[in-house]
Amino acid sequence: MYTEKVELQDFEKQDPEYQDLLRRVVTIQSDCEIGGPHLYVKDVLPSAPGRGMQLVVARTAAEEIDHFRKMARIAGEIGTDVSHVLRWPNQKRYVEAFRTTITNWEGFAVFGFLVDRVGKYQLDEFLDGSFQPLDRAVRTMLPEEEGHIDFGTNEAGELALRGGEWKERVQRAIDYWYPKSLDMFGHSESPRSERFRYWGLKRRSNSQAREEYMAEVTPLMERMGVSIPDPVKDRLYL
Amino acid sequence: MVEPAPNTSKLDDYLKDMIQAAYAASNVGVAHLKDDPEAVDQAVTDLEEILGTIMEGNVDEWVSS
Repeated sequence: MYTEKVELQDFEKQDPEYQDLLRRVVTIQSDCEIGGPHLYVKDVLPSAPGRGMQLVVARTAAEEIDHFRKMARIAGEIGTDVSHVLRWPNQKRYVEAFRTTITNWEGFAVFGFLVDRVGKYQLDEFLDGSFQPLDRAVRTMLPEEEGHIDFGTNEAGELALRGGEWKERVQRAIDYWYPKSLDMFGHSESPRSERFRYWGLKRRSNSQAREEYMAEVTPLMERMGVSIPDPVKDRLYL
Repeated sequence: MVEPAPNTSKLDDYLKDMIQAAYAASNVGVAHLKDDPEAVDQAVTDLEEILGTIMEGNVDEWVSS
């Protein structure tokens, strides 16, 4: 296991596999950060229930764009231009969960509850990792990501507690986003995942992170009074 | 030291300015939610414009200015 702490000026001295993996992970993370706003700004910002909620949507998008900026800066400093993902159509996104759109309020709330939470898991992977600029950047991003998750969790819970049609709408959104969220962790037997861990670029295996995530969201869904989707149904990666 | 990708700093500076403008508009909107609906309307309009510009992603234009 690699235990070095690598600063930017040492990047070039690293093993080519280290360089490739770091470039790959910051490119994908950049794409995920800008992928969120591309899902919901167009339709949810104008249609959110009231001006206060419109401001929440806009602030969330601005913070995600700032996360993109921080990742794009790191990518750029190690010689990788990721600016093209700013304007990519959703269908080109690296991660399948972002190849869609969100057009309603419960979709935005559940996205915060489930998908932003995966985002937090992804950022957590870099904490105390080998590449110091990444470690420092995620420490500034995590509190904002937690804010998005809290908002989504509370809002989805409140909508579900209304019962009737609203509860059904939240259930549909959960049924849609839960399998996508679980897929975001990647294949359980991914050889690349092991190499990320070897180089100190990630802390947990894909399956370990996914299991921790499931253990966290299951009681939250129970508290909302919604059915917990079959964790294997509609999955692309197991 | 590895050679940075072209325009890394320029892109970062541009986005920083735009994000700060979005945060400022958001703060104005939140501050006036209860007392000034016109200020809130303007804040939302400004935010739609700022976010729309960023997400259009005309990077070449941004870094050439």
